[in-house]
Amino acid sequence: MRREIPLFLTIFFGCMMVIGFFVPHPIVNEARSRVEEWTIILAAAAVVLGVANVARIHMHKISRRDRDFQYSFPLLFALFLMILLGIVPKDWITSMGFPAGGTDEGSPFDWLYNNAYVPMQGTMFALLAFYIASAAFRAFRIRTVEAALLAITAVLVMIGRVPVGGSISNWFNGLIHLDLWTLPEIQQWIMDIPNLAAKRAILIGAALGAIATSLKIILGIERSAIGGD
Amino acid sequence: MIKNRTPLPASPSSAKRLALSACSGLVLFLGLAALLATSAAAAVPGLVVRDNPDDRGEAILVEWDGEAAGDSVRVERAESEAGPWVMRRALPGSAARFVDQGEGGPERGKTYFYRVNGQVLSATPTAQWWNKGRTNLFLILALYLGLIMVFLNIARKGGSLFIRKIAGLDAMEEAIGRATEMGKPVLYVPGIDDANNIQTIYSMAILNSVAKMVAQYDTELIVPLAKAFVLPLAEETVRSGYMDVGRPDSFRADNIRFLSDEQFAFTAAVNGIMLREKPAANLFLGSFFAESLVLAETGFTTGAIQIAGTANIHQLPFFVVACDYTMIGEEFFATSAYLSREPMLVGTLKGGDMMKLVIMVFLVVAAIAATMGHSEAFRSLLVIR
Amino acid sequence: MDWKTRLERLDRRIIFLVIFFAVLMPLFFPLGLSITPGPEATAFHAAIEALQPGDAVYLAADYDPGSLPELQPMLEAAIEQLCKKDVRIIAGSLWPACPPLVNRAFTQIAEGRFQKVYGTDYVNLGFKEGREVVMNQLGQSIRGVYPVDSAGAPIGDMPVMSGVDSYADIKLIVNVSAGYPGTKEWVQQVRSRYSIPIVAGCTAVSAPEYFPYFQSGQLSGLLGGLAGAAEYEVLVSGSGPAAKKMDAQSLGHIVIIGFILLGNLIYFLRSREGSVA
Repeated sequence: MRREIPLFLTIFFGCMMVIGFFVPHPIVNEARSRVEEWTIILAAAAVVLGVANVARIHMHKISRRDRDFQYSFPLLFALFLMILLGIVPKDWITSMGFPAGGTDEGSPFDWLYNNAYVPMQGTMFALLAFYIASAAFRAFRIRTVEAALLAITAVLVMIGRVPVGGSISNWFNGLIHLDLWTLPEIQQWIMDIPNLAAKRAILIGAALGAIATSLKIILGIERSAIGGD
Repeated sequence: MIKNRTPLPASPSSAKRLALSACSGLVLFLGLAALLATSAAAAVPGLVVRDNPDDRGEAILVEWDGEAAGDSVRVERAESEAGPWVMRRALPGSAARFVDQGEGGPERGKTYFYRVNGQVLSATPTAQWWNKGRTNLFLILALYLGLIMVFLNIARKGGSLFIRKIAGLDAMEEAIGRATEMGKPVLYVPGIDDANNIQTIYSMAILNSVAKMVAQYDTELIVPLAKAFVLPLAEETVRSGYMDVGRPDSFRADNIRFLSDEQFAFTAAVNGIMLREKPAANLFLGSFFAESLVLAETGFTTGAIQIAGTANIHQLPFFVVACDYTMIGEEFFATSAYLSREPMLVGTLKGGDMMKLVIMVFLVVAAIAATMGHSEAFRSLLVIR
Repeated sequence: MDWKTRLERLDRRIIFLVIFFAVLMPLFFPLGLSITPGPEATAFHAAIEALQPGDAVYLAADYDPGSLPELQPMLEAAIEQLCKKDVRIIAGSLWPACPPLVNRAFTQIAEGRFQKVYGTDYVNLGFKEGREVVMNQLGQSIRGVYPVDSAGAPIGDMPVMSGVDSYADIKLIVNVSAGYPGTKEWVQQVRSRYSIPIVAGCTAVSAPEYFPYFQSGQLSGLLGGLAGAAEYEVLVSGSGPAAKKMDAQSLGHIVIIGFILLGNLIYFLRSREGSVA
């Protein structure tokens, strides 16, 4: 039963969603809509589950004095601090002298969001620029004809996407008194024609794979995803 | 359900009234002509009011000839022919259609009267049992399912089905073996998407195979997660993998870790795991976004063997430059069949290949037809409402 | 160790440092490069321009502070154009960390520059868990999904919501997205099912994936990354925060190209020496 019930639920709800897409009648549509509402509730409940898992793992780590257990303290502190600031009644926070409570503008939660969370997230995203530079230095070696094509295309798109590409083209066209394709135009052509053709081919393949996998799961052919063979 | 009621023209003056003077006759004639001219200007050519098709019965469609209509069209609605009339929308004549639905829209099964620039028509919204606008999609799905079933049958009967070599998957066992030799863990990241994403679900199927291999080699497996919903799924998948090879005691629940819902908080945490615990094999299989390069580059610096696979095509270039092996698009979805070689799964894979062949033939024919100026027929075949 | 070997094994931190200064310098000493809007940004602008005063627009903001530098300028420029058109803005988010960013943009642009009134001209419905399911449910009833706004006030009585309760009452969806759930899901779940036009702004890295949607008409306009935001700002107001950062991005790209060339130069010299297999 441990495997049959999840399998039955998967088949039942999977088929219901597929049928709901083709049958607009309220009898089917409302049942489908109700299932979607359950999904929202379940997803919200899963967040609590996630927080419990984080707390459990790090408390275990501290109690067992695992390697680097010290880092678990700031993690748990930050976790519970943000939860507390978000859920305690707004009056309590304003009575402590803060201009606002809850998640409103000016509240301690908002202050931490703007001054800790936003810069940390931005920093992580900004790392991409550095990693791209070092990966490009290492990876774009012209070893073969294909690699040469890849590197030339990358350079053309990179330079054509930014304003400096247009400036270089205009300067060059003025120098030779010709109206050649500009770098932004070449970039646009690469993005619109060869890039799109390849993207669509991969997209069609991936979409078919996704549909086949969904069908396999809904029909119970692929069971390993629900913990069974 | 369509009920048209065209207003009758005003009755002409009676011819029997001989007593009318020629003067008053002229005045009446001119007045009538003016009235008819006004009606002709306000009338909406080609006006049709009907139940909006293929819906749950809560909309009425008002259509007219957009090219022949005047500057503006006023759509009013009433529950009886006598009114009271409620203004629904004023539109430019070129709009050609208006669907009365949403806030204050019609109720299912109730007849409504529409006055469009003075012309009154009625219709009743009804619910349909089939969305005809999606029949084409249903047929494509049925064809796909049919092909899968055919090849499933062939596979069941023992027919030989060839799968080409996928280097990344062949390397997976080698990577896990290397981690075992070095006494270091294997890191498996199933993407950052939720459990309702098919890539995440499929990643769980691959995780099951990886868990079995890892359990056999008695190597540590770390699974960091970005979505709480995936946590019970991943726990159950890994546990069942360990149980299947008879090593339930080796399973450690603490190694299935929900880290954070936030993309870059999760990325930072996984980077931390890579730098502190130094896994010898990093497997990135699932749906990834901007964190892909940050993860793969960090993994590269730790010297781990890295295998990636995703159907998020915009992240493929990053994995290609920083990982040892990358599975692109549908290769990722072939993993389970490739690793298990189970006839049922291989059969579905071949069904998918055949569907791709059908699409390729269709694309070639459609491209030739479009080149010859007949693209509309193919386009209308594929419109989904 | 000869200079070629040194360059070949160039410390990553030197690359990082060069990139850092290349991006930093133009912020202090702008180059003033001109920006020409491309077809995608022009279409995005035209789709909003076609709206009528009083129309309702759903602003789907699906990102977090990580992509703030790229996407916040798009959101701000879109709010500016929507305010100029005098349309009603109903904003919602499927990313938990996004609502404060939407609030910030509303306060600065809608309220600060156009004196728009919260609840009358615009509303921030806040975050809702459920991803694609929420997208679909909004097609049934916006009030059903969001009975209250992000501050907990009931939305039923707000003038901005008058006559609006589902996609049937919305003229356009403006999506600003950093990933999942985002542009792809809005197109797949809403565009095809509810036939409502969508314009989207996304991070540069994910833009190529959405070009097919733009080319097929499933997206009525597309802004890709900071470059797309800058082009759109030029169309809306002539300049803006993204346009100012484009000099930095230009120089960053040139430095990366420089590293690609340098890597190949070393590789070429090594090949000639016969030391590279």
